[in-house]
Amino acid sequence: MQDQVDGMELETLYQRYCIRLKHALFLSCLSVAAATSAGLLITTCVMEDLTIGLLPITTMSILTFALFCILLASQFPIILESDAWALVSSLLIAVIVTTSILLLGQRHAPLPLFALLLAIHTMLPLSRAVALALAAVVTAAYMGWSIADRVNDERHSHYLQLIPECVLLVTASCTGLYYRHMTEAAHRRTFVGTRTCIESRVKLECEKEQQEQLLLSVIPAYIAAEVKRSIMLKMADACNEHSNRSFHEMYVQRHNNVSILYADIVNFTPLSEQLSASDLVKTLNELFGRFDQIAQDNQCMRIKILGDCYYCVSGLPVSRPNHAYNCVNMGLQMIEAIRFVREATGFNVDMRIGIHTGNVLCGVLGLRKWQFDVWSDDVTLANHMESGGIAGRVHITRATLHQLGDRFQVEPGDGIGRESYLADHKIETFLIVPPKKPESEAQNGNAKPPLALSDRHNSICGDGMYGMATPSGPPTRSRPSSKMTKYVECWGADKPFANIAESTLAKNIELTSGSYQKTLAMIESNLLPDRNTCLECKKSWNSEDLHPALLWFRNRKIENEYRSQPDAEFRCYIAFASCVFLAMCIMQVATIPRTIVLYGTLAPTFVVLTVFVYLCWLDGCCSPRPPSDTPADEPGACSPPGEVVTGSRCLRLAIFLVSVVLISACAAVTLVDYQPVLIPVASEGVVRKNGTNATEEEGEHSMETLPTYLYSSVLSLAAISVFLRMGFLLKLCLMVASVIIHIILYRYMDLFNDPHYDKFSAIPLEVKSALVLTVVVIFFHILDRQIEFTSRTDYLWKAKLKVEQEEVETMRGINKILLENILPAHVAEHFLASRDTQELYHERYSCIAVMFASIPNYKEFYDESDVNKQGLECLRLLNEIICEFDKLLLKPKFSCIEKIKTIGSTYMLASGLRPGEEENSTEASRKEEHIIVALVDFAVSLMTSLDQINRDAFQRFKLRVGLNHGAVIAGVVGAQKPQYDIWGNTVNVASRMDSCGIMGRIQVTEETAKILMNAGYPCECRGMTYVKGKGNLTTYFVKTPFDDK
Amino acid sequence: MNELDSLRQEAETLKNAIRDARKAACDTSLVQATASLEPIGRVQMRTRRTLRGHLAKIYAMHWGSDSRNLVSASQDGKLIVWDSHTTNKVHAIPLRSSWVMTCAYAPSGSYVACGGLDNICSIYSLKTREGNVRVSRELPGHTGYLSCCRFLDDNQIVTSSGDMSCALWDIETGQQVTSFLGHTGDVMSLSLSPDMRTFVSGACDASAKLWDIREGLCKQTFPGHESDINAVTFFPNGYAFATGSDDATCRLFDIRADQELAMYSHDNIICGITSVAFSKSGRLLLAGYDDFNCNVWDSMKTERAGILAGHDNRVSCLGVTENGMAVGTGSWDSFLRIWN
Repeated sequence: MQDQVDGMELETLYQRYCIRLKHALFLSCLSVAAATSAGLLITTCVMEDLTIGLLPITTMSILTFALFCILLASQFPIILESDAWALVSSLLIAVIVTTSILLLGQRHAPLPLFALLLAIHTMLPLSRAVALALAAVVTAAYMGWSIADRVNDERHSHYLQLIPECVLLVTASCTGLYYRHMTEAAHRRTFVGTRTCIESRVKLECEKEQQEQLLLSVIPAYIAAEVKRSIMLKMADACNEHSNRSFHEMYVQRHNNVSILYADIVNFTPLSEQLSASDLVKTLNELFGRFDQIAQDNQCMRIKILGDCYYCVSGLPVSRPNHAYNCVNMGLQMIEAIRFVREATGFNVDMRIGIHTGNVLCGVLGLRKWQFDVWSDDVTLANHMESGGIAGRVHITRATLHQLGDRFQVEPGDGIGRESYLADHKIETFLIVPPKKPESEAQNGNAKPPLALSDRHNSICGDGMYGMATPSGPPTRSRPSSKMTKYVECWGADKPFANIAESTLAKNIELTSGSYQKTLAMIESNLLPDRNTCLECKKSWNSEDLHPALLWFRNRKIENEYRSQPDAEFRCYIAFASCVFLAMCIMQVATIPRTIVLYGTLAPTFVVLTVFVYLCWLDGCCSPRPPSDTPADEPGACSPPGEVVTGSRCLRLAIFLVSVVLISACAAVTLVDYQPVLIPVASEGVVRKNGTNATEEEGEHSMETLPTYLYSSVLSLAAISVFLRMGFLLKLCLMVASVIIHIILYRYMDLFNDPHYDKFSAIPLEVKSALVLTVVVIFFHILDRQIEFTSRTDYLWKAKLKVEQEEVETMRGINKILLENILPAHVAEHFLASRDTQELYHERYSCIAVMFASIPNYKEFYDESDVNKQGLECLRLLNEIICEFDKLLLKPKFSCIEKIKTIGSTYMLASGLRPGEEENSTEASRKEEHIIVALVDFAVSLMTSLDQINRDAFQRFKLRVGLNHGAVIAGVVGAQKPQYDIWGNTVNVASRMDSCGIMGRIQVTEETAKILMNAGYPCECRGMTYVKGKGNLTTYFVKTPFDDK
Repeated sequence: MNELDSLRQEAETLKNAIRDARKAACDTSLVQATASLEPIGRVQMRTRRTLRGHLAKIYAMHWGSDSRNLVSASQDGKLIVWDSHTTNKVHAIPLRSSWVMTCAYAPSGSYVACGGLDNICSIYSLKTREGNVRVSRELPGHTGYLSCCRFLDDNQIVTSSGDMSCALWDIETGQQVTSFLGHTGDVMSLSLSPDMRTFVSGACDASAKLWDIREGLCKQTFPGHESDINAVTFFPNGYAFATGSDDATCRLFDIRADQELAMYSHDNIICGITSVAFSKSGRLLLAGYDDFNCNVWDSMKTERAGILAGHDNRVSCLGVTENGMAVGTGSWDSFLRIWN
């Protein structure tokens, strides 16, 4: 249904396009006709004896008047565009012009009629059938008149003369039809080509926009822009042979004077353990979605979600004066938000919030799985402020207090007593006194003693965020999970990528109607020329790409490319030119004395043309080449001549020139033979010049031949013009040259001495002939120009579209690369492909290996001083390390490993995160082994590469690795900045394996160790190890080549 | 467990026996044997063409048998068929999965194949009746990523996979005809012998194996490398092959002698090798390295004869044309270069 409507709309658009083009032609034709008739009228008035020439003057006046009226009326677009007017005016013109030509031209009428027929077919806004009928009527009318005239006029009844006349008129119609057919086909092609171009571009753009939105919802716009720019730059200076990049690019910026807020959900872990995968993801999403909303309201930028920890920064990327105030407000609102959850579920969850003000470095590190992050000592401090805070209270430093002024009441925080880091750095802390709701305060404050500070060290040197808050007593109510989920649902936080969902929905609707309209509009604006294109110049005058008069492209390169395009229609041109030549032959053979010269010229020319036609048509269509045996790109020895002619511009030009010169010469060459006959007559002719009565034979002789020669001239003009895409200037020159030579030749041969058979006796016959020929030339020229103009603008437009399309495609490619860098491929696909992104993405895996690899001694290396640009250079080294690690991931054998994120200097990975199929038991155990072995191999590779970096950078970094396997939940949470993450006890234990491990060793749990030993990896038992939150566990170290170093 | 240990021990002793037998059979070294050979001097090649158009890392390339067209696969999800003379793109084929790792050009020039992390080998027909390129067959069946594929003819293709196996496929039916099992690590590369009856594969178990395509059996195993083998290529005469490995060495193995003949390494080279190819005569061994360079070895004298430097990232693939006139390299810097 839609298709049909589309088709209809497009069809009408196409019709409008054609009509628009035709109108331009119509107006031009009218102008020329009106000008000619006006000129003729004035000349007649001046030169003619008024009493004698009353008929010509009146007729001419009426004709001129009518033409001018129509021209004037057609200036109004409404009139011009109505179908009725088109028909009426065309008919009117046809009738008036035919009558006047018949009345005035009499026996010289075929020449102007040729022009008229041409105009009827190509220029008047008529449908093909009407045009054909009209042409037939005109031809018949003239033939009828001609025969009648000859019957009446016994003396000059040259019945043979009828043949050339008839042939000429038929050829005129044929030429007109040929033009019409060729241009219509070309327009159709142009239109279809443009349409597909635009459609694909609109589609590409839609896709690109979608990806861009997805991208921008993950990383801030300015980072995305910077990364894109650098990719573009890299592509641009591809030829730059020697780029000595000692470091990887780092997209990190420094921001001074911002406030950092860390928030942690106290007691979240016991709650989360009771939730199912979808409930957990849903709950987290709702909760963090709510926080995101609060952050947005308070102009804070959420940075990251780490397990149940949430942190954001105010004053980024735009610096704000009230950043501290925003953060405190945000903290208070978060506490308020969690209070609802607590009350609803009865689960003792609360927020612990720490705020600090200072400087940060922010951006992305590494090569893969970018997450926007902040680093600095101030960030570390803020983190410790949170862990040294009190549940339900906002804990701030003096720096923040200083920024706040006195907008909040504070009380001494005494953070030193609770957190050793604060004590070490002698940080003075304060607690915000909540401004309102004393009764809720009473409820809270008393209900909870300060919760046992959980053991999380959420620092730049990340000891792992997957801290398990120690379960502080059994849940007060059973089954809180469903209630919790239900409760938080009513907040209605946005789903991840909700904005995209909406826009894709919008896009979907658009694709059916909107983008379609856009397509139409684009086609229209680009294809339809200005409506008052009189001589088609107007548009080209303003066009900056085309030369106004020559219609050449201003850009030489484009011009060359345009000219060297293959021309598949060339064989049609040459074929039709041969037909025109045949018509000429018939005329000449019929009327001119059949001398040896006549045959001697016609026959070779005919042979040459036939050879040309044969060459041009000798092509795939005659003998289809066997497919695929000869690849098309082999040297063109065996390619058919037709293809060669189509492809080679010089060859086409040569064929064109040879054919045209031959035809042109044939039109007049028989005069050579004619000359000796005429010479004696010529001397008489001079005598006779003043006297009007000619002797009978001579009159008959010249009477017989002159029209034929004139007709031949016209046909040779037509033969020149039918080579549609040959360059209209060249054709114009040839036509003018041909007309001038012919006229001079005829004049020199004294062919113009016959009596006037028309009503313009005052004007010399040669002038009249020249005038008519000129009008024909002008008509042809207008047509040529139009064709040239459309084909050139079409070419230009196509070239432009191609460039634009390439651009869009490039941008799309870059977006895709970035996107797949941020989300795992299958997740990105999920969000791009599924229209219904309302569904949260989450997946439960039964067997995933999780690894944490940290560099504990990076902390000692990190230092903020003026020497290293406030830590930027330290961060650069970290960037290098992470980049090296990321590069290892690219190895095919590590393809099952997915980087989850980096947390400070901790590198977090998981393997086996493949969507879909959970295999049967044997498969599963094999897979289990495979993913663990892959991770261990990867850990060894990490150590190797770190070793290399140590050697290069003179450092002593050591890797501490923790590994575990088991069930995890994977999902995407966060409305504003969705992040892919995994959760579960497995992850927590893996994090612990890292944090309580030993530098330079890989620590694994017992189950994992068993699998590894089965696979032939020697392990060494560490014995019972105390793991915070888990009690004593038996752990193992995997033996690596780095053990003894 | 005890039984397992004893079996393991037995395997070890057998391996040692084989190694000793090999050593015993080795009466000379390649370097000694070729000592009288004329040195070839320094080989200098320059970049003649740079093919730009990929947006991401190029992972694989393969020359067509006309020595003019080549196909390259990049992780921007495109397969591009290039005309290396004009640097024009003949076809740009968007792929369903952008995680492509290998590509191959059929000897007839009518098909290209590719595959990667989707575990599927996709065959694209370049010469369809409609003139557009489309998937003509997808060959699912591997359970690991597809690391390499090579056409035998228009209807048969050999693939190697990360599931430790290689396979021969009938493209028409889309069925696995033969499965070549035996490797104990991800198979990374394969190379067809010039007579198309055998092929060698290199794997992450640091060994290369010679397989008979018709029998489907492993005929010979060549240990020796210390790390993953990333690339293998047959010597043009079909009696030897070279391997490139992560242990920073290339090695030449002779099939008839069942020996490792030569090792191509240098103290300064510490990075892995991604790809190897022989010149038409076999005198030169070209190898692409992780350090962005491409080294040219004199395969007979095991000396470095030249270096192709120019890429800004790891050279991931490399190929010599059938007529031996040019070498093409593809890199993670997203460009292909044609040298000679």
